[in-house]
Amino acid sequence: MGVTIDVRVAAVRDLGPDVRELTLAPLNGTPLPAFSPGSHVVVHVPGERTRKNPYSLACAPWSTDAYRIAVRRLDDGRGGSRAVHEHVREGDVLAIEPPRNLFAPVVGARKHLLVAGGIGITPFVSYAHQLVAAGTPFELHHAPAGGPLADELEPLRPDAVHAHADRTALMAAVEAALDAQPLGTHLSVCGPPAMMEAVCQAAKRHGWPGSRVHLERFVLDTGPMDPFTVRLAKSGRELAVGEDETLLEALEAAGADVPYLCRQGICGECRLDVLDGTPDHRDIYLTADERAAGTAIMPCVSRCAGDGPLVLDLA
Amino acid sequence: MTYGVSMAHTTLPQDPGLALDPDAREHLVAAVPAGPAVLRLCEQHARDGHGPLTLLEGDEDDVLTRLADRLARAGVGLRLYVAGAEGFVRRAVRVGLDAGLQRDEILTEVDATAARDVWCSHCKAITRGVTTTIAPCAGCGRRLEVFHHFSRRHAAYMGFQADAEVPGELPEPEVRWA
Amino acid sequence: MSATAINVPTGNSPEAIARFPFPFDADGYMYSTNVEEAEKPRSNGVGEWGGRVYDVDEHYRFEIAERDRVLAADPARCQVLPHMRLAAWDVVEDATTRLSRDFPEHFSLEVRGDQRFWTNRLLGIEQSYTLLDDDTLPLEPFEWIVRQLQEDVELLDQRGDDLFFDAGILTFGADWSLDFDLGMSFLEIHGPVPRVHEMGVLPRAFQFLQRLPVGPIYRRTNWTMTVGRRLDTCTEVYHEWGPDRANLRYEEIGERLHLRVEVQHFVRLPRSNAVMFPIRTYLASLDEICTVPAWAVRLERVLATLPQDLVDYKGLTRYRDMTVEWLRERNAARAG
Repeated sequence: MGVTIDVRVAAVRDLGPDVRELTLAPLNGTPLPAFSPGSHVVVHVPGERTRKNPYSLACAPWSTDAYRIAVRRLDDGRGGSRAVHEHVREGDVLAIEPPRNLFAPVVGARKHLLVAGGIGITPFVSYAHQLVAAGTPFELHHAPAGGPLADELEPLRPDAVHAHADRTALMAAVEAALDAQPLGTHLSVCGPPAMMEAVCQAAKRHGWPGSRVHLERFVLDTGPMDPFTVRLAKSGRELAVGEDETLLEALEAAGADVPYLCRQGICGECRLDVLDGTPDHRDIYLTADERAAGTAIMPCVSRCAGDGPLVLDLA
Repeated sequence: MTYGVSMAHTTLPQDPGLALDPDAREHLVAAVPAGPAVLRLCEQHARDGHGPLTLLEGDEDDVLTRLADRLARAGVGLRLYVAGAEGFVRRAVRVGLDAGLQRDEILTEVDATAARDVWCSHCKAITRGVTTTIAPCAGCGRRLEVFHHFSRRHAAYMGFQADAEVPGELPEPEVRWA
Repeated sequence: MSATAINVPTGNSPEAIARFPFPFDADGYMYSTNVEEAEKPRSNGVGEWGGRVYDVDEHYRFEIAERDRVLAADPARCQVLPHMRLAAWDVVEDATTRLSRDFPEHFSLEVRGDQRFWTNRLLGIEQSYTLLDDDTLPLEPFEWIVRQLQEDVELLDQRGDDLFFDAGILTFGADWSLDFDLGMSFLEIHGPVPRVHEMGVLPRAFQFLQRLPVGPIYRRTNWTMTVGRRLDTCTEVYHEWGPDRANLRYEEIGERLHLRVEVQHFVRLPRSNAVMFPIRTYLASLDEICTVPAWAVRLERVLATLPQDLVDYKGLTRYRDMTVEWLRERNAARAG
């Protein structure tokens, strides 16, 4: 939380009409961290408002000289991908957060069956590099053919990478593949929600237990960080909690001395009493009853439901 | 050594019971001895199962060997059902896990003797068919307390020397798993 | 599995006592998810501990030799399941990087691309190797590095919304067995611990570990007591250390009975995504504890009020009352 790495946009390459690849090199020459396959980085995209958008690292996991990401332009999104396409140029400096992984492959799986739709192929670039290096069997089906990054994947292990013209052809191949995997194979899927749902349903029909099916979940851990106000009851002071800070950070910046240990919402140390307003609980410490009562909050991760003011029993 | 521990939270194996998994593509059953659980399962399959069902029964070593062979040629979508004596069930589960199955692809039911296998912490030998809370180790002869901690990898329960602190000072063994 | 006679260790110097991770913040003890940010020095009232993930102290050479002795007698104390190869290299990188940075007088690491040159001046080791290439090290990589650490190290593979203990070394454990627990899930390993499930302590710890990202490191402490200044109290050798619990005499408590504290760290490893759990064990005799009056008073209160199920689980049953009495006598004499 808060740590970023400054990178220089070393190259910009269009991989198709809507897809742009950025090569990000460290600004100060220190190697970038190695990462595990399936990792993403949150890129702080500059603009009117800084957007924090996650993008899969589409390069080998030992790429410490530079990272590559592929950004698909979404016109109905929050604007981050548009900003990347319209404003980010070679030579620009960006801040990125260190790699995190919410889509790691099962290490030790006998084989991996990978299914990608469109830009969903990006996390499988790092998978493919790792699996080839480890000598682990895999089978990747993707659509559409000639889509972004396919050219890079194909030579890694030609007999394992299968391009399909469209979703219909992809699903037909997936149905056949689901019946032909050795025990111990794991299925990983990344693509548009409808496509992932279709693959999930097919897997179930073919007897795959849910524990063998893994979907890319691009959800940032704690959810949106909308701003709100806080009133400290004992002094009457009002504070604004911004979208880039936690309640705990805002309180600390205002000089409040709140005890803490983990700053992750688990240990209970930073618990504060709520006198008014509705907490938006994001911790794993309070019990269901305590959350429902709404008279306590863990400020390290939790926020206010609405604009506030959230009234805390503090000076 | 065993005060205050909730049995609900130990590592003891959870046996879901044999019931046909309607989502499975193929059903493989191993039972030594083949008893009521298997009978019920086969009847259920005959009534409303889909996908082939294969039953392996008979001599334990033979069944385990045939099980490993079958699994080596099997694909995802298979469910393994294991029933019979406690010791056999755990050993067969291990064969299944070694072949690449996950624990949730294996359904188990102990419907014969509950006598269990115990792993000796000191000499690593496995003592088979233990029914009492204290039992002599088949490897080193130490009298082992059978602890409520189970390892899928060893397919056995943990045993350690019951009178390690004061040699000869032992609780009375009780028959608990017959 | 019994080893030849163990080397007799020396006690703690005053400097070591000043760095002792005295674990009690209050006059009573109960399980909590007592996780805090790591690498921050913590005061114990007379000095500080906790600035580093791997701690090298005056006992280094003794403990390395002791680890060698235990592994020679029982190689199964160190095991790495095949799919944990990459995690093993993560540990090599993590430990060599931190040790060379935190103890430059003892360790150096030269990095050139994939090439590494490691120097351990305490053990006279000079080793060049290629990252991720097992053949360039004289031992399996995990074993190679942990034989240069005082910590026990456990590795958890994260898969299927669960964490599995799939590699580790345990030569200095407090009555558990790596060989038995290897392959178990996090919750299964803690099955036998009283109260932690119902209290919610364990589920919270579990969720915390699953969400742990690469970067921030956390730590917690654990404690028990050991009769004799003995590090290897694993279940495998219970018959060696068990009798000491029963033959401890009142007048020996100061010298023989030790407070045993584990400092545990939680680190997400970058290449394998595994969670690493180094455990460093510290022993201080009750005589050493009594050199800090506040510690002696607090320990007396903690032991006097410890619930029976925790007393039994921690193995203190035979001598808890006697020890409380011994501390009470000393504390009263000092106060009077």
